[in-house]
Amino acid sequence: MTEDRTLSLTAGSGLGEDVVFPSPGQIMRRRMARHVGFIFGAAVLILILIMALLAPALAPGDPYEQDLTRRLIPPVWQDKGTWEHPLGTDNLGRDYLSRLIYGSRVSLLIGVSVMLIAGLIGTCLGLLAGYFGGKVDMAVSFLITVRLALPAVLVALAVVTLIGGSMTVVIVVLGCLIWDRFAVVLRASAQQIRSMDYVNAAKSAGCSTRRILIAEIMPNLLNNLIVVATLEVARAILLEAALSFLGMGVQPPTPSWGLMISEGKEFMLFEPYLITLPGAALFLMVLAINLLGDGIRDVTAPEARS
Amino acid sequence: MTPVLEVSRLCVDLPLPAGMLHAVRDISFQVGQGETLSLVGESGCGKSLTALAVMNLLPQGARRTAATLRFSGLDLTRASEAEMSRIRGNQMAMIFQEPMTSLNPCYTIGDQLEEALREHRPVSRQQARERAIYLLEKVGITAAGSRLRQYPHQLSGGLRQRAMIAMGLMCGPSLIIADEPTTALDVTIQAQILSLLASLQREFEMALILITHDLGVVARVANRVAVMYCGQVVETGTVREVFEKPIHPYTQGLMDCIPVPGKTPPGQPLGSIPGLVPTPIGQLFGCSFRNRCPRASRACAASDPDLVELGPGRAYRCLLSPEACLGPARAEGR
Amino acid sequence: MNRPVIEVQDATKTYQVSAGLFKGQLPLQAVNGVSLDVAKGSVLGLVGESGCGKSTLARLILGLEDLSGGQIVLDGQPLARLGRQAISRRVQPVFQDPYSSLNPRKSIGSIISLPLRALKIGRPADWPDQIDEIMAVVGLAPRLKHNYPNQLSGGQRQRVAIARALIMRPELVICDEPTSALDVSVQAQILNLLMKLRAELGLTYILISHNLSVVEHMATRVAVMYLGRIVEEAGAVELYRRPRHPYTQALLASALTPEPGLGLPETHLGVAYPNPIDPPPGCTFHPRCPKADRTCSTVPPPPTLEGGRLVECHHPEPL
Repeated sequence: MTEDRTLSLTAGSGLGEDVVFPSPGQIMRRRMARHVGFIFGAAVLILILIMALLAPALAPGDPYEQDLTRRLIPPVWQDKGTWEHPLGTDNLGRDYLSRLIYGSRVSLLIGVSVMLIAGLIGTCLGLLAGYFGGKVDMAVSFLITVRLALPAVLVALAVVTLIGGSMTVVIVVLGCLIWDRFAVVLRASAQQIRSMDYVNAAKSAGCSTRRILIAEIMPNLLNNLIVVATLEVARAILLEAALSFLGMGVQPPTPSWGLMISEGKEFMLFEPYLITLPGAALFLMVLAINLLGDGIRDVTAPEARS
Repeated sequence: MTPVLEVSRLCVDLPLPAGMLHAVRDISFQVGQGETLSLVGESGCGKSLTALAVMNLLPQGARRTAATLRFSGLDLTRASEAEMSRIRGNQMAMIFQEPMTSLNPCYTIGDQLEEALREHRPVSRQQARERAIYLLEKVGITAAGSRLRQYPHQLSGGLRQRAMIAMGLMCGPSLIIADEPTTALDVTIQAQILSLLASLQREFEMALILITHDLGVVARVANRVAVMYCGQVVETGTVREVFEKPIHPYTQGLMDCIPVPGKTPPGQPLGSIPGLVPTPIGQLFGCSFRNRCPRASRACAASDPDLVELGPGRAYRCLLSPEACLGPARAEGR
Repeated sequence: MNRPVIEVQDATKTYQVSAGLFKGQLPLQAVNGVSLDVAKGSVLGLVGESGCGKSTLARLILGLEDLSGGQIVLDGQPLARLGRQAISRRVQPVFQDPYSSLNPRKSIGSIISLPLRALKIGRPADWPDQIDEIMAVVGLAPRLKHNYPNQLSGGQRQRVAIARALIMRPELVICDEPTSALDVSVQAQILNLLMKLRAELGLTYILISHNLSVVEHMATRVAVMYLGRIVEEAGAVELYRRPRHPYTQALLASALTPEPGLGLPETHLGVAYPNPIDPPPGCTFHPRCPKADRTCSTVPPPPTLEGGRLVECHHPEPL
C-alpha cells in the first residue's frame, strides 16, 4: 500500500523530483564542451604537442644541416620560393620549417620543465605559509617580497653570464626564479581553506597534518594550481625566448624560436619571414596557452550552492 | 481603506539549465496601513523573491507577471525603471538580513543616511543631517552625532541593523519590507530590534511586510500571516487564527516541529515533516506538498488545489475540507 | 563509579589580537576559567550569545586548540597527554554549517570513512560495510555514497556529518549549533535523529546552541556562558523553570516562542554586548543588569553552588 502511494504521488512527478544535480566532474565536463576559448586553446596546444612529438617524422629536413648554396630562400608563397623548403631557409641554408618544428620541442620542454620546478617550489612555500600562518608565513612572505623585488630577466642574465648558457642552465635558473605566482596564489587559497569546517573535522577525525595537507587541502587547490601552472608555462616560454634572443639562453645551433628571431634580425628588412615566422609561432602558442588557462579557470569555478 | 500594497497572482520564473524554475506561483496578498503582514516559509519557498519582485529587483533573466501589483494606487507592473527608482528607498523601503553587506563599508553611516534622503528630496546637507540624527536617536542609537561619522565596521551587529532601519525611514516610507531583519542577530538584540520596528510602525503609521522563517517572530510581531511553500501561499489568516488552528497540513507540520518550552514534552521526538522540499522546475501538476503530506491521497496528484476562502483574509490551499484537515491524520503505513 | 566523560577544570584560552596600527597586541580572553563536568549519557546544553566563548570552548575540548591555562581531563587523562588520535577516538564534532563541513572534492563515502582511514581502525575490507551501516543508521540511502556534497540538501549533508562523527562510536559528541543553518522541518528531523542515536548508542552530547527552545527540549543540564565564563549551570528543567542569574532570565525571556498574543518581551538589557577585549570590571554583566549596584561594578561575583546549581551573581534569584 505504501509502495502504491509513493508511485501515484511522485511518479512522473510534476514535483521536479527527476531533477538530478550533477556531480562536480559532470559539471566540469559540460562546461568544457561549451567553452570556446578552452576548446581552441586545447586544440592548438594538442596540435603543437603532436608536432613536437612527431618532429622527426614531420620535418622535411634536418634542422641542423647547413647548405650554404641555398641560403635565404624565401617561403613557398613568395616568388623564388620552392616546395622543397616550404618556409624557406635561413642564413645558413637550414630548412626553416624543420627548425620551426624542432623549435617547438625546445619551447615546450623548457616551458613545462620550468613550470614543474617553479610549481614545486612555489606550491610548497605557498601551501605551508597559508596553512601554518605565523612565523612560517612571515618567512615565506619575506621570500616572496625579495623575489618580486628582483627583475627576473636581469637575474637570469647575470647567472647565465657567470655560468654560461645552455638549455639546462636556462631551465634551472628560470625554475628557481618564477615560482612567485604559485606561492602567492596558493598561499591565499590555503588560508581560505584552512578555516573551513571540513579541515577541523579532518583534524578531529585524527588526520595527521601531512594527511590534511595532501588529502584535504590540495584537492581544493588543484583548480587554482592548474590555472597558474598553465599561465606560467607561457611565461617561461616567453622568458626563454627573450633570453635566447639576447644570446644568453639556448645556444646555437639548437633551434629555439627566440634564437631564430635573434639570428634573423640582421636580415629583417629584406627577409622579414625570418623573424615573422618564429614570432607568429610564439604568439600562437602563448595565445593558446593563455586561452586554455582562462578556460580552465572558468570551467573549474567553484560551484554555487544548489 | 485602500491597502498600501495589493498583489494578486504574482509569478516569478527563473530560467535554469535544467528547466524553468517557477519560484513564485500565483501569490496574492495585501497589506494595509499600520498593519504587519508576515510571509513565512522555509528556504526556497520564494518569500525573498516575492519581495524582490514587488520592488522589481529580480536577478537578470527572471520574469515577473502579476494580475495586480498596486502600491498606494500606483500600478507597478507598468512602472518604468526610473519610476521604480523614485519609489524605492522613498515610499517603499527594504531592510535586509545582513547589515554588513547592505551597508557600504567605504562610506560613513552619516553619508549613507543623508544620501538616502537627498536622493529623493531636494534638501540641503544640513537638513539631511538633522533628519539623520533625529532618526538615529529614534532607533535608539545614543550619541547620534558622533555615530554619523563612524563606518559600518565600527558598529556592532545590532547597531548596524538599527542604522539600516533608520536609513529605511529617512524618506518617511509608507511601506517597509523587512527580509529576515533579525536572523543574523543575537537573541537578546532580536527582541529589542523587533520592539523597535513595532513601535516605529505604530508611530509613523507604516505598513510592514515581515519576511522570515522564524515562527516565533511571526507569532509575536505580525498581525496577519501568509504561509508559503514551494512558491505558493498555502495558508493565510490572522496570526491568532493560523497559530491556534492551523488548517493546512504543512502549517500543522511546521507547528509540530518547533519545541515550545513548557508545552512540548522534553526528550520526546519532535513532530517532523519527512522528505525534502521539491524543486518547482518544469511542468508542474498536483499539490506540491503531496509527497510529504500525512493526509495525501490519489486526488492530490491530479489537480493543483486552489486557495479556498473561509472568511475575510482566511484561506488555505488543500483539496480536503477544513474539518478533514483538522481531524486526526490517517494512521501510519497507509 | 560514574566518572564523568569529560572534566573541564578552570580552562582558559587567551588570544593576542592586534589593537590597531602600531598599538601592539592586546589579550582577548575568549574562555576565562570555565569548569564543567559532563556525566556519561547526559546532554549538556551550552548556551550564550556570540562572543561568549562557547565555540572556543568546543574547540578546546576537541583538542583543536591548546589551552592557555587549566586542564581538560578526558577519560581520566589530561588532553595534553592524550595524542591527537586518542582524542579523536573519544570525541567527535558535528559542526554548524553543512556546506563548509564537508570537503567538496570528496565523495560522501570517502568523507564518512575518513576517521576509519585516518585512525586505521579495523580492516579496510570491512570499511564499505561499516559505511553502509552508519548511513542506514542516520537515514541516508547507501547509494548516496558515490555522490558529492553539492548534490545533497542541507539536511542530508548534516546527516553525513553525523555519520562521519559516529562511525567510530565515540563517547562524546560535540554538536556546535548542529541545526542552526537548517530549515525548521529539517531541524526537527536532525534533532530527533540525534536523540534516537543517543539512546541507541549510549552517546554523551555537548550541545551548543543559541536556540533556547531546542536546548530546553534536548538537554539534561544547561550551562549559560557570558563573556568567557559560566554564569549559571543547572539541570535543564530547573533552569527553565527558575532561572537565577539576571542574564539567564533575560535570555529566556528573549526566546520568542510561537505563541501569539504574548507580544514582545521587555528584557531591560539596555547597552549592547561588551567588547571581549575590554571587559567591564567587577561582574562583567553589570552594565546591562537591571539589578546592578556598587558591588557589582567592582567585585567579580564568586561562583556559588547550591542544591546542585551553580550561579555567579551578587543578587541571584533565591532558590
